[in-house]
Amino acid sequence: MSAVGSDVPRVDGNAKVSGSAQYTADIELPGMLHAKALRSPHPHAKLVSVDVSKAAALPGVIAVVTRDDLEGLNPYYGAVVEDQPVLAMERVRCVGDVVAAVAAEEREIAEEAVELIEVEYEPLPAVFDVVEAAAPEAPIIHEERFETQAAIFREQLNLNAGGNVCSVFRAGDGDVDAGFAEADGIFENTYRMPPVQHGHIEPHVATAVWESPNRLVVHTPCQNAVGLQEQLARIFNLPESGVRVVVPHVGGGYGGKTHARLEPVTALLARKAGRPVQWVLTREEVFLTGRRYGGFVRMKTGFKRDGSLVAREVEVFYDLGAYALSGPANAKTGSYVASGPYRVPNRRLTTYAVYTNLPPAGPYRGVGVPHVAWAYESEMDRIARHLRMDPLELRLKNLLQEGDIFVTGESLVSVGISDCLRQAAAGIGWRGREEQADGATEGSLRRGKGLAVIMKSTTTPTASAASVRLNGDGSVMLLTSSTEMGQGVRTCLAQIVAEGLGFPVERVTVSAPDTDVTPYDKSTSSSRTTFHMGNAALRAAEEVRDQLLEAGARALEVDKADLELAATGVSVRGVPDRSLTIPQLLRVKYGDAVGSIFGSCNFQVKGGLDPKTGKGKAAAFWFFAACAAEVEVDAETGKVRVLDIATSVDVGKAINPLQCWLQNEGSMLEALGAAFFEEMVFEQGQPVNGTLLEYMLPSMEDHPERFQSLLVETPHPDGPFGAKGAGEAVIPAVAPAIGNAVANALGGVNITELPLRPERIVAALAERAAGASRDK
Amino acid sequence: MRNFDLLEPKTVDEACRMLDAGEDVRPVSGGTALLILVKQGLLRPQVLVNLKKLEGTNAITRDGAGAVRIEAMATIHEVETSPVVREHLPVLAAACHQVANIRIRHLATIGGNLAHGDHQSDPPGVLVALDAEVELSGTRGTRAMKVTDFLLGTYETALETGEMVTAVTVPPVRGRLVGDYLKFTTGSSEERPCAGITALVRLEDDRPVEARLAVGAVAARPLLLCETDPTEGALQRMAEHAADEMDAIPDLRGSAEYKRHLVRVLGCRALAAAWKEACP
Ligand SMILES: Cc1cc2nc3c(=O)[nH]c(=O)nc-3n(C[C@H](O)[C@H](O)[C@H](O)COP(=O)(O)OP(=O)(O)OC[C@H]3O[C@@H](n4cnc5c(N)ncnc54)[C@H](O)[C@@H]3O)c2cc1C
Repeated sequence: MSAVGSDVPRVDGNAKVSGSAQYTADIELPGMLHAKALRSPHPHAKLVSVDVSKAAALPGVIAVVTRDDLEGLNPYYGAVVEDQPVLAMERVRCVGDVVAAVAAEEREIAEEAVELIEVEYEPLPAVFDVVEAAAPEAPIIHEERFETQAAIFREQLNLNAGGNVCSVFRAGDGDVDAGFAEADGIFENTYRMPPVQHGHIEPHVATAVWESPNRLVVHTPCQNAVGLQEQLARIFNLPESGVRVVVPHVGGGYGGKTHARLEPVTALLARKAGRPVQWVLTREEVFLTGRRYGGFVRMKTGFKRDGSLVAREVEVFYDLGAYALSGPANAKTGSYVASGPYRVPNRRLTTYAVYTNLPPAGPYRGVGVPHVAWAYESEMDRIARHLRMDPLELRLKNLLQEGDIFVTGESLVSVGISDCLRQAAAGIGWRGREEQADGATEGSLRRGKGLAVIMKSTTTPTASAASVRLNGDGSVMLLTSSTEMGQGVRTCLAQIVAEGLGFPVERVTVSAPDTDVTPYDKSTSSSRTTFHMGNAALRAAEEVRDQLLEAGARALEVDKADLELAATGVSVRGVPDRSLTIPQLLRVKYGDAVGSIFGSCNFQVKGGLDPKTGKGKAAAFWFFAACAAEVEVDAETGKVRVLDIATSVDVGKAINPLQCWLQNEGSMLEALGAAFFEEMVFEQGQPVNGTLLEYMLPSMEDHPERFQSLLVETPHPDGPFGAKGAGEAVIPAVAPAIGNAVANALGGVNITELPLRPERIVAALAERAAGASRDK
Repeated sequence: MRNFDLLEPKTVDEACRMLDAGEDVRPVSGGTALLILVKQGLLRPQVLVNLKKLEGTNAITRDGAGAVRIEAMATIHEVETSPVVREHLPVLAAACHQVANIRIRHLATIGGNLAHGDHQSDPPGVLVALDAEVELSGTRGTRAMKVTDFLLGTYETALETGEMVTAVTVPPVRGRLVGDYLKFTTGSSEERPCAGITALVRLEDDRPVEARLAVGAVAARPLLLCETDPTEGALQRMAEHAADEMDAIPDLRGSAEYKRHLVRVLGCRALAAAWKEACP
């Protein structure tokens, strides 16, 4: 192997660093208009009337759209539940809901026009807290229920749970009550995680143009070109082939660009205007458009004196905001791992996806897992402290092993989790039990180390299709709908195709998604691309390779097995001068040295869970990660400094080790922000810190002093070259590792609510001091 | 963002005349604060007067008596890296170095920073501790006042219509100042300060004769406390006093109570460090 396993430089790196890469907002179409939306200032209100006459009369305004323009279309869309109107219909459900939109010759005119729109609202009672929203007496946010179009979701989710609970998912096994009865100790705690921003530097943006009444072309930095194509086709009553979605370079996604966000409105405006329309959201609008689910976790754990877990009951509430997007599916993803990557014989795990009157959330790297990992890994350290056990030992004792039957009933393969944990712990010099002893202190500074492990599924069942095209000059094109959004998928897929053909990587070009050209893909999400699209690309490449070898075998009159394929062409093994170049092979195949050789594959993984029992096959592959961190806490100010942090991921096979490092380093820093300070704050549904001035993202200055990205390679039998997904792996592990390090630094002061803001730490210390003096 | 006219005067007089034209006229220097307000629609100026191109308005000099004069258009980066500031007012260089990030520091000016009047800033507290003055020029002439009198509250300054900040001057220091600026953030390290503490001890003939504690970013205006009989105990009381005195503004960075707590803790630390430097 040469291409796979080496640190091939990023194929898109140069264009991005030099600034020559074209992003959606760089597109300028002739006659293009600019869009601006009028957004609801109310978190929940009846939409009484919308009067756009003054706005429409403003010179330079070409089109204004409202709910009236959805006549004859399918006004509601959604990945799982069709609950989101293209434009507010009978009511608005969150601050920022789009009520009307304007397309004008200039952005400034559109902005001015929006201010001329007159709207009458009738405010309705609203609910913001996820637990309150789930209660039966909460104001109902969606009176109507909408049928999902996607068959796999209908079959695999429990929708229509009632009230604001959009969906419920249950997993479990054993006898939970009996488990608690035999426990030597029982812990019960609640944990909270706030909504956070994805923080993609490129905002949501789309350009739409109708080439004819039956032909819509949309450019957008979407992680899911095909899914968007399907949704737009449904809204506008077009065949899928009537919608072309093109994905230019993408300035970050992190899950935030997986679903239709502003594309339907942009297309509607372009349709009414009869001209191309571009809509670039401002950062303030991005804050109203997508985010990570806030979460509330109730966790009860029964354990034996020797540290073995015997029972666990978990309830998780994910705050969807006003619309579901893929929330029910993501809440399912959280359910079966809610007891962690541990052997727990008796468990009852329930997740609820709940509507609130906050702006919609949607998938964010790790989807449902960070919430539960924050809870179960904090619990593990509490149990270790209680039992005076080494937190590392306690985890190793309970961790899942190769071949274990998981709560979903499936047998686990490629389980490198213990290795991940050992490696990460060793990476920061873990010393065993003494890490929970009262540490040495220097003035107000306290040091501590913490560990965390996680597991996550990839969305299943799904499919990915790819085509490989070999040109007459021996160059190769991979046609794929996978989106390059910074994670390095183009480079990785180029390596896989090159390896499959025996060509150097430079020969391979990987397309951007363009639904006119590139075949089906479920989406670039769920850490699934290397595995699924990698498999499809590899098999497509092998099909090309086979055709070349077949042509060679015919012309050279040898057996296929005696031939080898290289960049120069085909030659008889050991007899290099008996060879044929690529043009010669084309001539053999087609009688003339012109044309292309195609290979293609639709790679499919079957499975899924029965929503009644929670059993089945949850994942095409599982991935595992660990994080270990050492921190220094200033006990007087509550400020934490991360001295050392190590992540370890079981990637199956590192197709590109350098990219794995970069991915894990980026994940670590992203998760660090959410661990320490990121939090979207709302007051009565109004954003309090909805700008990047008030909502800070981590900068390079926040990078820990030392970082190591460690890899475990437990080959997966179904992965291309044994590879599994790794994209999201580090994200859920970071906050609990840091939280445990802080708790250890402070002698067991646990903070249950993220982020670990300095004031929270000071308050927790003060509370403990007050408790200690009360006890005296 | 609304459109506006951009005027580019060559001289301060010309600029002041332009600024005097009315409420809808705003001066702009680095634009780092102003353009955000305009983009967010919080300010809607018809005319912006660009001060950045005024000639000779970014020099940083020291006169024979030891007074340091920083022209208003000097960027935060120029202040931070100026040899004069580094040698004679290292605490100001240190504070400027901690403003935002390198990109902002290259654009933002010291004049704009003061004129903006945002209490969550680093330089104002240090300038108050250094007893600095601002120089204001307008169509009615030039006046000077203490920075502490200039800053009236959050986004409130003594600037009148048609006036601009033209310079900041730090008077000569009798003896020698030791001490440092301590910036505390609760979020990202590039965040605006939750508290900015300046602790200075003035020495004459190597004897500590005065201690100063200035607290910025916590209340609407920087607080300055001076102690002319500095002892370790007195310094401790200074920090306590400052904490009690502060009218701390609660926000997402912390409650008022937490911020006062910070003033106590960090005030003590900063003064202790200055004292240690003064009496090693
Ligand atoms: C991302 C970011 C992070 C920041 N972080 C920090 C930080 O950590 N610490 C900190 O201290 N500050 C911070 N700031 C604030 C920054 O220091 C100020 O924005 C800057 O100093 C303002 O200077 P300017 O020249 O850009 O002013 P401008 O934006 O040009 O103007 C600001 C205001 O002052 C007026 N004005 C400008 N110049 C004059 C003048 N000469 N006379 C009269 N009025 C004038 C303008 O009309 C406007 O009202 C941050 C800003 C940003 C954008």
